[in-house]
Amino acid sequence: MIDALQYDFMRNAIMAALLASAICGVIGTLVVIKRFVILAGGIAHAAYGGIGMALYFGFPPRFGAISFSFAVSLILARITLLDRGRADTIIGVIWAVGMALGVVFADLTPGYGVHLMSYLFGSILSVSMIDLYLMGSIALLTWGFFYWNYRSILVYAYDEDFARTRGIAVTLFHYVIVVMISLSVVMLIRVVGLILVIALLTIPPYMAERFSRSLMGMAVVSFAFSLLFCFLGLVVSYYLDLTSGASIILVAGGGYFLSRFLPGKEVGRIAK
Amino acid sequence: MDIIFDEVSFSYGHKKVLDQVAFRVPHGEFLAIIGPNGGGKTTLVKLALGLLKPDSGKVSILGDLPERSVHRIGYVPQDLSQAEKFPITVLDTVLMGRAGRSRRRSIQKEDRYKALEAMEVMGVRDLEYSLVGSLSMGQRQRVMIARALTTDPEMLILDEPTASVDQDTQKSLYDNLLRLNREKTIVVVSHDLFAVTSHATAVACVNRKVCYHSEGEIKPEMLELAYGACPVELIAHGLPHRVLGKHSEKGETSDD
Repeated sequence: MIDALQYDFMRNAIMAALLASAICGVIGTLVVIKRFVILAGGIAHAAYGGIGMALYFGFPPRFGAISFSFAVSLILARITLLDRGRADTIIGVIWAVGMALGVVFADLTPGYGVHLMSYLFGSILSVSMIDLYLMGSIALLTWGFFYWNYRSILVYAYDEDFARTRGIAVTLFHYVIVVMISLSVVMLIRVVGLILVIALLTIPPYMAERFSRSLMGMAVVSFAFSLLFCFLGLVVSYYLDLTSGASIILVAGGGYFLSRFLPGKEVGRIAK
Repeated sequence: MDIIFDEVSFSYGHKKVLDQVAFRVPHGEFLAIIGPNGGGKTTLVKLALGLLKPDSGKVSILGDLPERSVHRIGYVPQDLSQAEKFPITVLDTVLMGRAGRSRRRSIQKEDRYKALEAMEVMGVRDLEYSLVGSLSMGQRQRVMIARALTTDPEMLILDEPTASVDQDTQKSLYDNLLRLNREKTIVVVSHDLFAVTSHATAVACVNRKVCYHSEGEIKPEMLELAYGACPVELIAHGLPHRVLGKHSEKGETSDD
C-alpha cells in the first residue's frame, strides 16, 4: 500500500475518505437519530435533477446540484416539520421526480452521454483539490455547529416538545440541520457517489449507536468506523482492481455484519 | 389561579378537538385530566404549554400567556419508548432540563448540582451513569420527572406517566408526586382514572368538552361525558365489550 501513496490520486482519495468520514460522523448521527434516512436519500436523488438542469442550461453541475437540493431541502424541512405522518410519501415523490428531471434534462442536452454510474458510486480516486477544499469546509462547518450547539441539539434530537418548553429554537435547528444534510450529501455525491453517501450516513452511525453512551460519542465512533471502512475499501479496490465506492460499501456491510456478534452496551438488560 | 382556560376551542384541520372549554385551577391543586383516547387530553396539555395556539378563547398559565410562563413549568412528555436506543446516560438526560436556560454552552456547576438534587428527590441518584435505555419503565419515568424538576418549576405537567408501569411502581410514583404537590401544582393526564383520581384533589374530564370538578371524585356526569354513559368502558379500559342494552344503575353493570 505504501507504494500506492506515491500517486497524487491515492493521497487525495485518502484525504477525501477522511473528510467524508468526518462529515458523515456528525450528519450521519443526526440522520440516524432523527430518522432522516429517507429524507437524506430524497435530497441525494433529487440533486440529480439539479445536475441535469445544470448540464442543459450550461452551468457547472455542482452549482446546479447545490442550488436545486438547497431548494428541495427547504421544502422537505417544512414538510417534515408540519406533517410527520405523510412526510415519507412526499419525500418519495420528490425523490423520483427529481431523478426523472435529471434524466430528461440530460437527454435533452445535445452531445452529452450521462454516466449514471459515476453519480451512483462516484469516483473517490479522481477527487480534485477543489473537492477537498469544499469537503474540508463542510467538515469544519458541521463539527463546529455540532460542538457549539451540542446541548441544544441533544434536547432537539431527544424530544422536540420538551425542547420547545425549554425555549430551544426547534424550528430553526430543524431547518439548519436539514439544509446541512443537503449540503453534505451534494458535496459528497460527486466524490463518493449517491449510494456511498447513504451507506456512510447510515451504517457507521447505526453501528456506533450500539457502542456509545452519548450523542457526541456516537458521532466520534461513527467517524472512526467510517474512516476504517473507507480505508479498507480503498485497499481492497486497489489490490483487486474493483470499483472503489462499491468496495467501501461492501466492507462497511461486512463490518456491520461482524459487529452484530460483538457485545454492545447494556441496553435491553433491565437494571435493578 | 394557576390555570385558566377561557372558552378555548381548538381544531386539527376540520376536526374540532376542544369546543369552548372553560375551567380554572387554583394553586396547589393535584389535577387529574381524564378522558378517552382522542378526547383532547394531550391537546389540552399542549395548549397549556403554548406548543399549540387556541383557535379562539384564551389560555392563561401562572398568570401569563403560556409561551411566556412555560419556563416555569416542568413538563414530562408521554412515554418516549422510541428513544430507547438513544445513547445517553441518566445524568445527561436530567441535565437536558437545564439546557436552553442560559446561553452557556458548557454544563455549569449549578446545572450539575440541580440535576443531582432532582435525581435524589426522585430516587434515581445512584443511576447517574446508567444508560436510559437500560432502565425499567418506572425508573425511566422517574428520570423524566427529575429532568422536569431541574428548573424548580412552580407547576408539573405529566402526560400519561404511568402508562406502562406496574401497580407497585405506579403507587410509589404517585406517592412521590403527592410529596411534590406540597409546593407545586400538579397536573397528571391519564386514561386510567381510578389510579389517578385516588390522589387527585380536582378532576377534569376531557372529551371535546371539559367537565371540571374541584373534588377528586368521579361523578356520573363525568362518566357520561367521557365514556358515553357506559361505565363498562371505564372498568375495561377501552377493551372491546358487548353493550347489554341500557344500564339501569351505575356501578351495577356486568362486564362480559
